[in-house]
Amino acid sequence: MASAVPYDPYDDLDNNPFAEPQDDSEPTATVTEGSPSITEEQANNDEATGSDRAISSVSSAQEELGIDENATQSKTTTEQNGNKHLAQPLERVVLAERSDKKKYSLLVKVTGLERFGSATGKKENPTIVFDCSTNLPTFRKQQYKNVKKSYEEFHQLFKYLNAAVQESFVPTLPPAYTSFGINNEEDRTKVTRNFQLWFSRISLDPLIIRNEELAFFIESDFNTYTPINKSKSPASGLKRKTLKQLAPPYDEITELAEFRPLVKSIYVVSQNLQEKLLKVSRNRKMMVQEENAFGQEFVNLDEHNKLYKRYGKILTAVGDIDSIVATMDMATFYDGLEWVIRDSYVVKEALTNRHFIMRNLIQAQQNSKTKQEQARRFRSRRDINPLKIDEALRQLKTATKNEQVLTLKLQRITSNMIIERKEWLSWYEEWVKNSIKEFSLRKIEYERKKLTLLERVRSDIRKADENGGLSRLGRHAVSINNNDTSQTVKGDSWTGESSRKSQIPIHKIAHTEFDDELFTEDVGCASQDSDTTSLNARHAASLLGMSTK
Amino acid sequence: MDYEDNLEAPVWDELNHEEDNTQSAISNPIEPTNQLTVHKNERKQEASGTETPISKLDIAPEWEDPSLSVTDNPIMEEQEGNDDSKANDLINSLAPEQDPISDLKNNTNQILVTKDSGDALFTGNASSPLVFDDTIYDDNTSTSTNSRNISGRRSGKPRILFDSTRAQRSSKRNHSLKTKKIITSNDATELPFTDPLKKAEKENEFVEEPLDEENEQKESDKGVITASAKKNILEQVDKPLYNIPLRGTNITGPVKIDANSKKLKGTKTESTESSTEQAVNFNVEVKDPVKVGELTSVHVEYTVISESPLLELKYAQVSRRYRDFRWLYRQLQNNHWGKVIPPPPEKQSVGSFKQDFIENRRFQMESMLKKICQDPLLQKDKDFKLFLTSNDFNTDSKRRAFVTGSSAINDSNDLSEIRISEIQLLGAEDAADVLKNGGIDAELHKGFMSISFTSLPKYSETDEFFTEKKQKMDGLEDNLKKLGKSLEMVDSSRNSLAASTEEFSGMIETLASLNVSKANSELLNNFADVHRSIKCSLERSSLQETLTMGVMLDDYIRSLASVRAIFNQRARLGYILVVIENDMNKKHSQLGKLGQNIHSEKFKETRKEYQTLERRYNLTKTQWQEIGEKIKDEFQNFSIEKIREFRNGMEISLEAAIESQKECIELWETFYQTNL
Repeated sequence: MASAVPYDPYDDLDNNPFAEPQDDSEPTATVTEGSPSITEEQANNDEATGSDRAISSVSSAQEELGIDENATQSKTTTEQNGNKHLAQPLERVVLAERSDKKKYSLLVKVTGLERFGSATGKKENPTIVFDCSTNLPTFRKQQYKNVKKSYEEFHQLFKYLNAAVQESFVPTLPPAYTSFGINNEEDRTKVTRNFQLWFSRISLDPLIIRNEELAFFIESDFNTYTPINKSKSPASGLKRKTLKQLAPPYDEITELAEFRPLVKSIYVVSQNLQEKLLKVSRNRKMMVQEENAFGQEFVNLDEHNKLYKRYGKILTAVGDIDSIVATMDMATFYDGLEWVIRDSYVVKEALTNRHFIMRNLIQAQQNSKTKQEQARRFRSRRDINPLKIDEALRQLKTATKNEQVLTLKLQRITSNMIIERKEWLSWYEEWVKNSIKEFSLRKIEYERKKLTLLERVRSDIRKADENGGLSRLGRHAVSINNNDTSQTVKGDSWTGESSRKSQIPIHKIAHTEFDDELFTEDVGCASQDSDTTSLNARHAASLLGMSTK
Repeated sequence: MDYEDNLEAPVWDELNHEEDNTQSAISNPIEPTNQLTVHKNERKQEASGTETPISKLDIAPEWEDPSLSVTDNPIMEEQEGNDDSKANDLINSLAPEQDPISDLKNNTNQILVTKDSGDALFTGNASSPLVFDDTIYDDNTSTSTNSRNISGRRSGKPRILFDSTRAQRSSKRNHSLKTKKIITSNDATELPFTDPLKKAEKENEFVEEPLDEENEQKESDKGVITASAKKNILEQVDKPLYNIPLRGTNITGPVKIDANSKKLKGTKTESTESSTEQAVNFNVEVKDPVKVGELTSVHVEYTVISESPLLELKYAQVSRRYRDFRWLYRQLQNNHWGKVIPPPPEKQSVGSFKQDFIENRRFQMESMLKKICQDPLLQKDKDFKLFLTSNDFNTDSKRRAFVTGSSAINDSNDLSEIRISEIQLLGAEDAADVLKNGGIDAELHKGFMSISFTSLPKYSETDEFFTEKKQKMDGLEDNLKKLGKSLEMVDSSRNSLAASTEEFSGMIETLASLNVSKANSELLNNFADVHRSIKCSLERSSLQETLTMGVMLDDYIRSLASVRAIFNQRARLGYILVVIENDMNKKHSQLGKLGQNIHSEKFKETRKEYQTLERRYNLTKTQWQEIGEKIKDEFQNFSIEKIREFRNGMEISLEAAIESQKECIELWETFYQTNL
């Protein structure tokens, strides 16, 4: 109890054993399990309350938490009213960090992304530049400017946090690169934005920002960060695998009991979906190759015939747009799914960890029960060695303590996860929606561009023979107009709804990436060939994107 | 369709005049429409016999159109033209050769005037709206030829009264035309690719004349030039005479046609050969493929139904198998040297009983028969009728093949391979003689096998046209095949894309079925739906592409083989010619040696042989020359027709692509609007 007084940043709850210790305090005093000092504190803390009572109050707290995850003031149900005076402080004890959300904040603004170094380094290990402002006591300063951290360091931090903060679903890092291919503007903005999103997700979680490692991470020099504290997950390797085979322990919180299978199927289905999308994209690229070949054949069909040439070129350009579409599909939805997959995996594992702890608790409960039984037996026998009694009592005490620690830990985890579950689901929903939105927008944009291209050659073909083709079917009206485009500022000519406007501004679709190439009259076949190979940055990017996948 | 029927029979002079019209329109840039209408008025009034220059002047301003240039409203012109021509034809049929102006003219020139007034009669008869494009878009070459033609003709002939004004205009036109041309071409450069096909065609020209859609026009021009140059009065007398009955038939029996190509062909035959050739209404259907026969002789039979006044019973229904269509092809090839015969589908040994293969073949054979039907020459072919009507085709066909020596029964796989029938070439008797000796080049082989080391006579094509075109054709065929192949590849990759899209959408649905939240599930379900629709659209466009581009390319490639066949015919005839010449020379020198002994038996015999050879030589030579001429015409026609067909195919597939693109955009937009 006394040890908690000096670091008193959390004025409302000075004796919180889970409080982040300040820099000068012993670093082991974190939530990491197996730390002796914390057990000691915990024991002192809860000594007054009987173990039975503690358990009952815990369960009531759990009940209450299950209904109202915010666990603040408004409680109306009678049962809760009965427990209110008990539940309130317990909730505060259990999740002190949540009680005052606005107290500490971490504000990060990602300002840039740098890619340098070797070829793989450039791609896998970019450097993220950001500014940071905070009022967290774990930080030495309030403002940090131009903090540079490599992806590798971020990864270290994540690994540490994921193991250390078992209560939370620690958001995974966004992918280090996008399917746009590296070294282009779109990739840069996308990765930057994703990191911004990551930071905002991190800073929303009070448990994470209170972790001192975050401060260490930000305050350390570029490329020097390694986790200072040691963290270890409840089980890893083969042990984890075996444990996962066991049936999950009974979970009275249905929300969380159902959550894991859901997340798991999200994980699996998303992976499958990603695979299918990759296949679609690959097939599309195959089609692009064929389309380009077809266009090229048209160009070659007759070296003197400009119409064929032009038609062929348009076909090729349409093919190139298809290739962009393939890349965009990947960059929007595939990458979106990528984060979902990573995140759902972490969530799933965090839930598994909870299962482990539940199992440990059951074990501890049994242990303390046997010890109690033993002590009772000793009491019934009169002629017993006092040494043995002492031993038995000590064992009982340790077992009870251990049980209490675990109970509280599980309580913390459960209550926090119930909160985070909702957050995660809404994040998932929002993120999927955004990905699909982006996906459709890109689709619309490029399909429109394709239409623009196709319509551009239409008049030429028609002009070649006023009397042939579709004009035979009585479509004279369209044949005279040289530049009939169905997409105008006023809307699309084919749709009845005049009020509806396209999502993409018209000036964007009226011109395509390939205009330059198409409108330069062919000076010679040789130069034209080189044109198709070195189209532009975007096309190059799409080509790069193809090779990486 | 109605006016096209009438358009079917534009006579050379109509077209000519039409051209006049446009040119004058160009020459007077200030009041082009005015000008045009003047001409139209002329014609109309002329036809009704009330033509006066004054009334023309009166009416002209009324007709002034605000939309000054002709190009601005080609449709209007076109339709007017069509209507006019209809009316014209009617008038003509009611009062053929009734020409008020000719009455005004001096009687000595009656005939010429009739001819010329025939021109006037059809002024503004915009039978072919293409003419407008031609003069407007086309470059100097074509127009200058035209103008040359016109002026040449004009100066060579007396003018009709009111025509003198036009003549003045036309003389003005001749120099103003050039500048006007430049203006139009400037316009053309402003709009990039104003008319690529035309340019291309011009570059691509197969003859010295520019090759464009109005080729029949050129042809008719040529006809006019030669006519006027020779001043062959007889011919000129003939021409209008021909025109009258022709027009009569035209009205009474309108000809059903599918494309302008037909018109072109019709006109062509008219202008080059005598004008009696006219395609008669002919309907053919190939349907109901049935698998017949057992084990070894299993094959598919198709029912061929035909309907035409040309047939004895007007209607015929027979069943034919694929082999018979090949026979027909060979037989027609043999009967009509130098003519491009619509080709049958290629042979295919594997999978010939699959449903879609049979359907495809049926379609191809039907289109082959339809094309034959539309050809005025081929539709009257005896063997074609035999094919359509014979009940015992198996024996009939063999007999015919034997009689004509076409060897159509021993059909080789290659459509371009040909055989020159000796019977057709030399006549039945002589051919029998030749065949007895083992063919025309038997002697040569004999000589070669023995000691005499005379080098094999080799035929080298003297006319550059053939070698050049052949080369070009080979290149084209190669390219087309490549194009066809890559089209197939595009198709298959498109289909696999559709398949994977389907899988993708299925997976999205699975994700939706996790029911994370209601909104999320709905969104994902809709997302899956969009993908499914996209997949359907992909499959549709793939099918469409095969049906338009694929079929067209396939047809093009096979037709090229057919064209190659006529080139081979010429080469073969040339070879035979060389062989005969060789023999003839030998005989001649032999004759010279025997010259001292005129009355000897041997001399007589040799002289007889020499005479036969000479006869053969002459026959072959004329055939060879004829076929050369014919091929040139045919080839030109063929190229135009094919280019047009190809362009149409391009347009259709482009339109299809645009439509599916719109559909795709619509799908996404709707999805976005409702869900995001």
